[in-house]
Order: sequence, then structure tokens, then C-alpha cells
Amino acid sequence: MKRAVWFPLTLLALLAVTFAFAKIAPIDPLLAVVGERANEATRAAAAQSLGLDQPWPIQFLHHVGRALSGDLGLSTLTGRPVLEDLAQVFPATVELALAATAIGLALGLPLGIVGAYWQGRWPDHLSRLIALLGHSVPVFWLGLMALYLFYAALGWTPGPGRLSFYLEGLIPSPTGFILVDALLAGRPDIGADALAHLVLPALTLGLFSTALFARTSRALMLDALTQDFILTARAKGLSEWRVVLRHALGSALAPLTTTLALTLCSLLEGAVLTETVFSWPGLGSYMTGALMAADMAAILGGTLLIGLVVAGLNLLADMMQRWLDPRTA
Amino acid sequence: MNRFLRDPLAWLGIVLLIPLILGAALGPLMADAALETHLSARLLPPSADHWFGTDALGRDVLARTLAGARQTLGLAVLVAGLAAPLGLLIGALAGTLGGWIENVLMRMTDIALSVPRLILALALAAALGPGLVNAAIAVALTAWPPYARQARAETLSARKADFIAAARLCGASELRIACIHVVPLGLSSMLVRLSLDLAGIVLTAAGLGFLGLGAQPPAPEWGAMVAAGRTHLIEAPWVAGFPGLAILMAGLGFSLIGDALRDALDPRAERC
Repeated sequence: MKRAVWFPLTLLALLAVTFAFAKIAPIDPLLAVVGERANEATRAAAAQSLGLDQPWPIQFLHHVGRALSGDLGLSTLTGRPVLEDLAQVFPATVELALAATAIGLALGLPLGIVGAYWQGRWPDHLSRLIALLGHSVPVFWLGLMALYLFYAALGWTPGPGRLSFYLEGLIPSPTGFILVDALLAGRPDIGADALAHLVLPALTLGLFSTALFARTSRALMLDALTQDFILTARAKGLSEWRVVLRHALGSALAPLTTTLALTLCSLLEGAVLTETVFSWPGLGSYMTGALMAADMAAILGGTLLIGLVVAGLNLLADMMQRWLDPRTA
Repeated sequence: MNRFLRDPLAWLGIVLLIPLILGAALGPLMADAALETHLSARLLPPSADHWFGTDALGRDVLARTLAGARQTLGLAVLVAGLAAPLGLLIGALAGTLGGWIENVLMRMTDIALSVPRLILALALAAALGPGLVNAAIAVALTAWPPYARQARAETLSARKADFIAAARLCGASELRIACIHVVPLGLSSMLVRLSLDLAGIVLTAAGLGFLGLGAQPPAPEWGAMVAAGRTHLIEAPWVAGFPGLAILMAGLGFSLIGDALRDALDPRAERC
């Protein structure tokens, strides 16, 4: 319940922060409207029509009102409403983040379990090292090196982008997720091409989520393995893998949902850099493009969207954990 | 400390940081070589003359990578010096004063904690304009919340201790109690958090540099160097490769040392 109150408060704080950023940015919002040769009267009229002559608390209220009605302003880069732009690029980012999370779960969970089970011995050191490596590697560099090795040198994967150029725009895009769209349109060849393009960015970002999952699951398993119920399970004569996978891991699952949400959040962040490297047409590429063009409306709109998603995910994870583990309610 | 020295991964961390510290110390000697352009020697592969090869302007990549250590370490120190005391102050104030002030401060912290760091730093750096100091401010303003949380928790547990009651009986003011008696208690865990955080700070800063928001060219900054090498990735992978390797070494070094420090100093701390 408390969390549910949090959500609008977080949203309000995000709006305040983006408003403040827009105010401190050394970009003249009138310049784009009236041009540089406008006289004072024209400028004043434009300021009045945009509400910029109001005191700033009023301006902030307008800012909140506009954002709540879905008006995030016009992007000076694309000339379209920021909200429309965001709706177009966001599915690509979600696709990438989900693929990376799946990789993280598949690799990180076993690593964490193995590390906790053999704590202090070489499997543990290996698991810690991989976790720290994934935590410390600059994703933008890893992506570039992967492109060089697997695309330029070995030719195993397709180059940057989300789809080969000759397949672009051939099928309608009702969902924005190319893999789903290709299935809906009955074009498995396009789906396969999209999947091949997804491999490298997803693996790059996946190493990062692997590290997060390995770290957290190792900690949770270390804690679980010292509990009394594990002793009981062993005393009952259960097989070792049943003790570890069913009893210890079972008790670690509920807190792991929080990690899942956290991972998705940090993946959104990592996606900004990864997308830039792989020319992946998602939110990250959109925001860095806007950055180069000093397009504040687009940057702040993207920040708002990411903040909103993160707050939503946290709320969801909290509810999930309460549902899975009634003790925390 | 013994436990720290017996951890093989701690030693790996120390070894990884030695070139970084050497580079930062020798940086001024490299400054000329790092900026000198030789257009006849563009994009040379690594050789005996240029161990790491040369970049698109014929500058020696090794010299630039070593000189870049100074930028990165400087920025990390600047950020740590801004963010940790800010967080400590906010957390200690919240813990000592209590009441609605604590509520407001901690809610602010929670909200700041829930926004992805790089995104916020990116938006702020975009608003402030590019540059090393602006990047440091942007990273610092996104890095303080964990410190505030920890400082508050430490303050709360210390507030009930007997020696605090004794200090209060002696007539010490709340401010004196907070600064002289409570803050030193939290320093060791603050150090651990800081060393764990340094990797994240280095990476966020390098990410901003990669996006063109950090130190401006021709200054040798690792993230910006990787970005510059991107255009010549296929014919000259060393231009982007070596500076990125330096970021990895710095990040991994700080993480390893932080991890080992936490295990040694603070065994009960949450391990994630």
C-alpha cells in the first residue's frame, strides 16, 4: 500500500527534476520558435503564448499538466511530438532488454548457485571474477570489440542495426517487436534475420545482467544454505541436489524478483550505450541522437519514460515479492 | 587486514591498478606525446615504436592511454569527494534530527535512488553542457543516495548507544554528537561503499565521455578515445581497443579491491 503512494510521488519528483534541467539548460526555448532576428515584441508575444512569462511555479504546474496529458513537447530533431517518437523506438529497447535478461538468468543463476555452494574455493572465485568482470566492463567498448571480432573479422554475425536493410519495411509493424511482427506476417526469414541481429547486442548487455544475477543469487544462496531447514532437509536424507535446488533456491526466489526488476532497470541504462554502438533503433539511440542535436524535449521525454518504467517495475517487484513471500507483507 | 591480504582476488585488483596509478603519476611527462599529431603516421598498427599503435591523427595511443589515467582518476576522486560527503551529511542529518526532516530527506533519497544513474547524469550533463567538471557534477549528483541511506542507518543504530547518552549527559550539542561521535563510526563502511562505488563512477564517467559529454578533445579521456576509435574500428581496432581495456582494468581493479575490503571489514554487510 505504501508503495502505491510512492509511485505518484516519484513521478512528481521526476517531473520536477526534468523541469529544473530544462530551466538550467543554456538553450533558448524561444529561438526555435521565432528565429534569431526577431525583435523584442515578437519574442515577448511568443513567450506569452508559450506561457514563459509566467512565474516558474505556474510554469511547473503547466509542465506537470502537459506531461500528464501526454504532451512532452515537439522534438526539434524529428519535428514530431516526443511521445510519438518514444512509442516508436521503445519496443526495440524492450526487445533488447528482455533478451539480455533471459541471458542473464540462464547464465547468472547457475554461476551464483555454484559459487555459493563451493564458497571460498575455485568455483566461487571463478563465479566472483565473472560477476565482477560483467560489473566492470564498459559495455560500449565490449560491444565494439564484439562487432570487430564476430562481424568484421570472423563474419559470424550480421553488422549493426536491427534488420538487414533489404528486409526493412517489408512487413507491417503492429506491435513494434520485429520478432512478433514477423511471426504475425508469416515471414520466418525476417524473424531469423532479426534474431541474428539481436544476438550480439543481447550478449553484450547480457554479460552485465549475468553479473548482477550471479552476485545476488550467490548472496541469497549463501544465506539460505546456512538456515536450519537445510539441515532438516539433509537430515531427512534428501539428495544433495534436491536440497540445493529445491529447498535453498526455493527460499531465494522471492527476493530474486527484486533483482529481476533491478536488472531490467539497469539494462535500460546499459541499453543507451549498447544501442549507440550497435545502431539499434531504440530509446538509447534516440536519446544520444537528441543529445547531439541539443534536443532537450526529446532528452527529457526519454528520461521521464525511463524513470516511469523503473518506478513501475519497482512497484511490480514489490507486489510480486509480497505475493511470493507472505512474511514480508 | 589479514583477511584482505589473503584474498587472491584482492591482489589481482592491486596488480590491475598499478599501471593506472603509474600512468597518473607519469601523466605530465606524456602530455606532449599525447597531444602531438603526426599526420604521416596515421593509424599505424602496434609496433616497437608505438606499442599500442597510433590514432587517426598519428598520436601515440599508449601515451594517450597513460595520460588518460589522470583524467579518469581525477574525475573519480572529484566525484567521490563531492558525493560521499554530501550523502554523509544528508544521512547523518536525517538520522540525528528525525521527525519530518528525516522523512523528507529519506524520501528524496529513495526517489533519487530509483532513477537510473547514467540517464540522469546524461540529462544533467546535456543541460549543463559538456566538460569534465560538469560531468563530475552530473555523476556526483546521481551518486550520493546510497551514502545517505547508509549514513542514516549507522546514525540510527549509534543514536541509542550508551556512549552517545554519556556524551549527551556531558552537555554535548546535537551537532557535536553527530560530527564527533557518530560520523567516525560510519567511516569504515563508508570506505567500503566508496571503493565499490569507484568502479561504477569510472564506468559512468567513461560512458558520458563516450557520448561526448565528458572532457573535450583533444584531452585524452578514455571514453572519448573509444568513441573516436569507433570510426576506424575495422581497419584500426587498437585505437578503440586499448583505452577501453584501460577502463576495464580500472573498473575491475576498483571492484576487486572493494569486494575484498567489504569481505574483510564488514562481513555481515549485504553482499549484493
